[in-house]
Amino acid sequence: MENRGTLQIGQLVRVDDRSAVGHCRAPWYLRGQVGEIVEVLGVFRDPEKLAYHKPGVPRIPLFKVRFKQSQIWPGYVGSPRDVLEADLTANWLVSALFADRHEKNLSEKV
Amino acid sequence: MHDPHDHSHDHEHSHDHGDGQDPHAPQRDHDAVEMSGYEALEETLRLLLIEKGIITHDEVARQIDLMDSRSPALGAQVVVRAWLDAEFKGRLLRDAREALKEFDVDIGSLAEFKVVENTPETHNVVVCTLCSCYPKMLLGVPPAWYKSMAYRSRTVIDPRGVLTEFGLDIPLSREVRVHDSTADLRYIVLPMRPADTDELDETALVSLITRDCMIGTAEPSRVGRGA
Repeated sequence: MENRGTLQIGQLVRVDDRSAVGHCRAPWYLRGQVGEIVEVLGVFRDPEKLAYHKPGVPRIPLFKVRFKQSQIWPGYVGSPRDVLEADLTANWLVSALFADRHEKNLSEKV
Repeated sequence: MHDPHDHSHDHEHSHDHGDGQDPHAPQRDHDAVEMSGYEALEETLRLLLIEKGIITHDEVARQIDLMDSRSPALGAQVVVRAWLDAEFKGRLLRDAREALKEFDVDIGSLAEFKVVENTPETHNVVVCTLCSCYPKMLLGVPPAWYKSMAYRSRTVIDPRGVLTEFGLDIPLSREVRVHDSTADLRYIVLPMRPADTDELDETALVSLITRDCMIGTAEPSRVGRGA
């Protein structure tokens, strides 16, 4: 995940599909999903630290990520244009290109 | 044993303190329902903090009054201002926190804030799947349904189905955009101004805008509003 600092508008990102113990603001239904960064929202204190009375610094970048509803939900009823936007911190996002290459490398090694 | 009267009273009371009831205590919504574990925890914690002198009854009462003083009327004023003033609308959409300084909003405690605009191409609806984040500073206390598991889960899975249950059918030609407020930003929807409202003054326009219009589960309409 050495590309974390380079995320920018228009980039495709994958939400990390890891499990987390305790408070975390990356919803389950978006983990592993690919979306597009549509806005850079600034830097904020880490909610996963704040929840346990820690300062949550250094602050981490927050991005607005747009997902296609038809991609998130198999059998989605609605328009193929329908989208969902969520605000996700950089530590949950991986460049989709990088993530897919990484997965491919893993599968080739098997 | 703690004497409920050993804290100082520097304010006037006309009500009786002799019944063992704390007149300042927050009132529960459903006193016929057994108190939940969390409610009991809140009451115990609150009374302990007061007993130890860390907070006072008056501070708790004032905070409740502050919460109750906010209502969707404030959000509706902001919406109408945006309808009437394109320059303000531009600033509101770009930097809501800055634009709202002109209104009687407690900016200091206002979370990061974003206004999303409905257009003929896009309808926006707001939800918080992780808890119940809500723009309280502009809309007041959220309705119970906004905090329900049903609204929180179904709005992301089947937004059009949920909107239909609210009486709002969005044509398939119009994109539905769900905003899951997962982080520090709070969202309010800027609804479209209904047609045939050119002759209405500011007060009449404000009356068209309900709380649900700013959550995205309704659209302003002259029908049934007596306007």
